[in-house]
Amino acid sequence: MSEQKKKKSRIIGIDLGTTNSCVAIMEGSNPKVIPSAEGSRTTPSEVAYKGAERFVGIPAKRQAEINPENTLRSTKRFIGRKYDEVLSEIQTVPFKVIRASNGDAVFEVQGKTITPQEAGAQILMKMKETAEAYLGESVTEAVITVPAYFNDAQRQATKDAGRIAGLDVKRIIPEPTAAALAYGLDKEKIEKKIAVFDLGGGTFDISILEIGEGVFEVLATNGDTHLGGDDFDNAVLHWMLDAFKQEHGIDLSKDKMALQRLRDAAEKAKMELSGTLSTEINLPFITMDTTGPKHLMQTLSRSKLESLTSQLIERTREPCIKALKDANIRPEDINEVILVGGMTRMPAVQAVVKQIFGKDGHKGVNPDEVVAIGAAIQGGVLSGEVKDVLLLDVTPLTLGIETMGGIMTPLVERNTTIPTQKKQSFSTAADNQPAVTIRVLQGERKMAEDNKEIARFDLTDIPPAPRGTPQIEVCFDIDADGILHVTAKDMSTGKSQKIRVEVSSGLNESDIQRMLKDAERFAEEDLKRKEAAEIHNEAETLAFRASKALKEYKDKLPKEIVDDVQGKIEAVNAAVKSNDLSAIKKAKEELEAHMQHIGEAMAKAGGAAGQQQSPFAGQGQQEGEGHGHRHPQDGEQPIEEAEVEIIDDEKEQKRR
Amino acid sequence: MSIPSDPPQSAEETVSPPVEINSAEKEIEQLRSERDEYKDKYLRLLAEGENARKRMQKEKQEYAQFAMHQVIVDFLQPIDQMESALSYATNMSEEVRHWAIGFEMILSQFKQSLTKQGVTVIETVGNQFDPYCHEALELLASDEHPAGTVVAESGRGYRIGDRTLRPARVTVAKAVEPVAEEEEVKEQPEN
Repeated sequence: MSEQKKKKSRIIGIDLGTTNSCVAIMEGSNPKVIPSAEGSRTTPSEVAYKGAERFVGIPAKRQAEINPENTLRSTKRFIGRKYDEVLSEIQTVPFKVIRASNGDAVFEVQGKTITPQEAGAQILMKMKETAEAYLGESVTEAVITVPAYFNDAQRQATKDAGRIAGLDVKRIIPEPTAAALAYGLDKEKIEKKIAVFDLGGGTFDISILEIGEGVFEVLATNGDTHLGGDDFDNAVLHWMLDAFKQEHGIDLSKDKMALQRLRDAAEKAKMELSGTLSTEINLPFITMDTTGPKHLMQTLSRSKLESLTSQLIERTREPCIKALKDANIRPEDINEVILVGGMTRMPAVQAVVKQIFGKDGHKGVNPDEVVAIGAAIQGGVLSGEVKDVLLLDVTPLTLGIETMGGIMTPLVERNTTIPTQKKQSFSTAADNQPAVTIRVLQGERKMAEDNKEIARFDLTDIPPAPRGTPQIEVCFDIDADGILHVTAKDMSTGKSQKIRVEVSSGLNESDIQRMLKDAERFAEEDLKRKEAAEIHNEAETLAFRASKALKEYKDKLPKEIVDDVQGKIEAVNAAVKSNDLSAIKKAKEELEAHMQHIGEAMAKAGGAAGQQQSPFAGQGQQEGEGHGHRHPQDGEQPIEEAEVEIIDDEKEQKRR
Repeated sequence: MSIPSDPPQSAEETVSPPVEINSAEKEIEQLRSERDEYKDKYLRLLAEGENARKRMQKEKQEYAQFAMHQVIVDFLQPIDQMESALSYATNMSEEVRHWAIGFEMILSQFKQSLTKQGVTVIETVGNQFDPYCHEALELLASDEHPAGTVVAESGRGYRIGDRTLRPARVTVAKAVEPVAEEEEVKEQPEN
């Protein structure tokens, strides 16, 4: 009888990008991008060698300028490819690419051969370490993404890179598929055609996918392998250099230090213009000549940026049209468009997407991270985690009961994942109250009457006791099927009553939406009403307590105090009747202040032995001590209107 | 009346109970393993809940720190510009230099706020180039400075605690070469 202990392993999702890489993991039902030790959510896909040292990610990038022959970047362009296939790529990189004995393209760094798999492995190792640092446990399994057009050799080589990095690559999935997963498009019941528009750091990829019954099929791919954010930055940079040259006759491109500042400013301006219509580029003291310091002050408008980069943006059009043609579908047949890659944040890019496909692209998920997120989701599915979690439901609306003053007191907030159980203690609102009515409500409004009552029952035979003394524990238990069980239990007698409710029978989807909208609309109003009710309650309770105290200590107190407090009590009662909120507040405060006199008088008289805290100071506190006897009830309330008072110590502290 | 020959009663009786027992045993077996699976899942879930809670705590702290770091980094640029501007003041007239002193004082106040947060300046010139806290702009052939050391700084770098807030922008020395060789990065003949 050997049971196979399923080793639950966390499967991370890695977007191994040409320029930048990103790692993510599922946390319950939510994918989460894991930031590196340096604090960044993406890591440059660069590996550098210097003597015996090796740098990966940000440090590699930082020294790339002075160690170009030994800094490997964009290795993705070479992985799994033969030397003869990449002759044009070799022209674009400063490091040495040679032909291995089997014809593969490999790198030569400091006299040693390094394969693209090994270079990729270094980056994957960094992502692995990042995940391990976050999780506090070792990570051995991953899902890695590759472009949809990668052939078998390229995919295998990527898998090998994973293996070298110490990762068991559970699956290699195409980047556009990962993006679609991130948007939950695999959940669709009907067949859909999806276009994934990926304009990232250095490459542009357009993919046409078809999803049906949870299975993705890549229909066509196209793109431009050398079109990305850097090109846009350069366009702005050149404009800045030209403008400066015209104005001051100085060519800043010769000054490396100034150039770096300009490049940063260009990138920053480009990003800002996705949000604003115009931005100022200010670089004071950018350089100096015989006539003094020179400043660069330029204003770049969004429309100017768009004209500077229009050629670049246009370059995305042709590949899209070609891809549609290869897939044999028209733009109108595309059901969804997904935007991937930082450059898709640019309004002009989004506009072109809309022009080509006739619809807006999905951009809800961070376009720099969406592929890694999709990979993480796939990892979650493979490890079985996601499947279980996705079976969990949530309560669509808040559930609670009615309490004193007609307020709705929530017990289970909406969007709580079920099954769940929440308990809270309540008490009676009147002396010797023999029963409480539990009105189970569903909704977001603050006042009970604005919500829907889905059940009600009574808990009877509560032994006579002063108001606020009995402890009635109300428990809301929702099981995995969404059935609500409400139990009310008198903690002193152990007697309880329960009821079973099918929560869903309460409302349907449109009702839910309406409820939520109403709650928002009336939020302020509701709050006011709730506060008014609460003040009302507090005042009433206080008056009650005060008169009880008077009755009890009448003999021990000087007449002035008794009369004084009595007067204040009457003032409160009158104010409560009048429903004038400010009058109630004022009367309540006065009563509170004057009640202190009772305590003082008692202390003087040396009485009240063993009474640690003044029973008058608080409201609604658990006070079994001072009031051991039962008073004849003033007005026994009929069961239907039996109200419940909240014993909520936290709230009491707040009220003070 | 011939009685059809059935298998003897006793034989039947011995056959059927074992079948029942077997299926019952199987069910128990199955239930046991199901129970174990649930128990395992449950405990792991509990543990994961605890772990998630711990991670959230840690993250909250880190995010608070990061948020602050980002604000500090945003302030570094204007501070830089001011410093660089003031460095030009030495060549100016007496009047300008006088004003500059006042601005130096203001700048110093800004820097003090940074120091209070634990921000320190990254050392550059004379030190070995370190990509963890320096960003290299270019190489400069030099026979005075050992290769690989920083010879000039064009942008100040800052650290907070031991984390690099912003790397320093530097120029690094390289050995002076007798004959300048251009690295060929074109097609290489097969080795």
